[in-house]
Amino acid sequence: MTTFIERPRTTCTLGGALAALTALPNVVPIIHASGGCGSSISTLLNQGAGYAGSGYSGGNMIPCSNVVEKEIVFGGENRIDELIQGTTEILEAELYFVVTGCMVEMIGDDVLPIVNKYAQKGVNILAASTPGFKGNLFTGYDIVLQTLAENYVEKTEVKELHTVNILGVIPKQDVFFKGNLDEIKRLLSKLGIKANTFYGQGETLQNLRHAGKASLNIVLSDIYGINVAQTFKEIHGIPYITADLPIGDTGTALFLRKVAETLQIDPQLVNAVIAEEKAYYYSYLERLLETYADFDLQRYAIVAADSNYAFPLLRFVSDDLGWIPYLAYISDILEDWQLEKVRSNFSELQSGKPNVIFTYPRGTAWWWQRLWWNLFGSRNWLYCQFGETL
Amino acid sequence: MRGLGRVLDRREEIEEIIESEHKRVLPKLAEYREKLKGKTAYITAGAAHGHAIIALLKELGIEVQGAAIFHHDPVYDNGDINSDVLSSTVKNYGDVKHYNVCNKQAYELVNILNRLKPDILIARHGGMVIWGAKLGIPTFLMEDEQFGFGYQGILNYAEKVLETFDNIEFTLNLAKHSTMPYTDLILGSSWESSLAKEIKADLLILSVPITYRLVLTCGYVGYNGGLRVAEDIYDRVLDTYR
Repeated sequence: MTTFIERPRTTCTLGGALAALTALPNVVPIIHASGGCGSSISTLLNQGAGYAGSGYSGGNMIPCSNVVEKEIVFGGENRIDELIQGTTEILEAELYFVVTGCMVEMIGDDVLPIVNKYAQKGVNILAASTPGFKGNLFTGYDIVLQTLAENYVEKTEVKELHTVNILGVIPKQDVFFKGNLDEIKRLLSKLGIKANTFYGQGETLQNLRHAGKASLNIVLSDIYGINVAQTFKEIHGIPYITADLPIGDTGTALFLRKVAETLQIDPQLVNAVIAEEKAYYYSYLERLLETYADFDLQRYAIVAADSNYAFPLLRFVSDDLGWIPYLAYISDILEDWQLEKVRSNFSELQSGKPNVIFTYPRGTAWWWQRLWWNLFGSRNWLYCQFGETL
Repeated sequence: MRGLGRVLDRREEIEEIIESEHKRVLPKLAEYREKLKGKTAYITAGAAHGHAIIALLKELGIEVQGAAIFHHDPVYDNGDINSDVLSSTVKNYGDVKHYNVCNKQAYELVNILNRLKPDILIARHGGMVIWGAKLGIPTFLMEDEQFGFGYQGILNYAEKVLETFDNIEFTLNLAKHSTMPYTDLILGSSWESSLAKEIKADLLILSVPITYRLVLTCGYVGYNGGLRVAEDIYDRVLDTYR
């Protein structure tokens, strides 16, 4: 091994699954893996995510089968059975959710029949295969939400016209997830839309249980949460749209119009809501004018963020704040089709055409160095590290 | 001494020694008390030895502001209630206001010393002295528990304390140039930004003049406001936390 990662930008599939589970209310995750997985992931999900805290039963509270040599050699199914038995006796939860680590998947432990045994006894319990090698945190989020959509969300033919589910805002990878989801919910409610955000303030598991009633899923990402939306489409017949994270007037007005158009909401209402929000927004933003002009604050902006944030942020800095979008550095590792999708967004900017570069598994430092010396002399610039402390 | 006289059947001889020692020591003690008048001290030490130093310093007329005593079990050593040195110290010499047990974590000690600002720190264990010295408090390490023993012992101690006061320039100078892993938090205005840099404090600017931050919708009142202050304070603190 020639390189190591000291402060990783993301974590493994198991980590994503735990992020998605510990941020839900009243869920007790159960880890079938060795002891270190849960502990180091929990540290990362707290300290790397703006001190998000451990939630209802996260952090060091997560029950773990703590498999050692014995289980690796002779199999760990008895051990996880024992752990589920103990956990369901001792810890109260609306939902238990077993997730697995690399080592038990490599030895072929089959958790599902064990979990089904408990489910048949009436325990609210689910399981998903989430070994780290399957992908990264984003994969883990997708797997957990897909499992919930498949097995927890109640199937219904009756749809509520103005109810939507919000997907793609990944708890803890997006450290602002709670605040973001609350604002989305507030804005949509002004259009008469009820939004299930699953992870926002005051959300309950019941909202998730009845998410099948929604008539639309809104994925706030071009890349992540799409699989979940597909599952909802296949199983619950709910169509989906994707949208960029709406930041500031430009992004938010676009977002609200897109959603309203899809749900066929009265354009007059939409205009009125946007006008009201704009009046509030600009009454504050207007105060920046003197500073902007007097201090010559039109600067060059660089955004280094994951693909959910990079474009929305740079658009805000450019189209709302009037700075010059200079460079977008996309930090997550993407497939080719995703890469093209993300790159094409940037042509939507009203002003300026930033350079867009993507991260590579290795040699990132070299890229930075080269760019640094080639692109910047003594110009004013802003380096904006955002939304990606993981 | 009298107990020894009883056991050895030398009561008269002991009384003679006591009398002659009193004659020798008391005038000197009075001189030292005059010199040490108004001085304050803080002590870190083990239980019985710490209690003994408290008594000794009080005998010298030094005000003992507080003590960090490493454990507390007055009869643990030999199971005898008469070994409760703390209660006898308090009974004979009065209360010690900032007496704590087992507050020997460095951050606790630094906070206490910073608050009390004693004239001298006396430590029984190596490693504790550094915090006094870094804060510019004259400090000495006294590992020898026999040093203050008997009539001569109290004079020795007085001399040791005075010697430490004789030259405090090194400590004061070093304190100016030494670094601490602990930081202050200033909730202030833009005027405090130079001070914050100078003393390496974390600064949250929230009173006028505010020139180093932009305020639009931010408010600090109510529940949401409280959460916002917490966010902003920790934003500054974590920014410099290493």
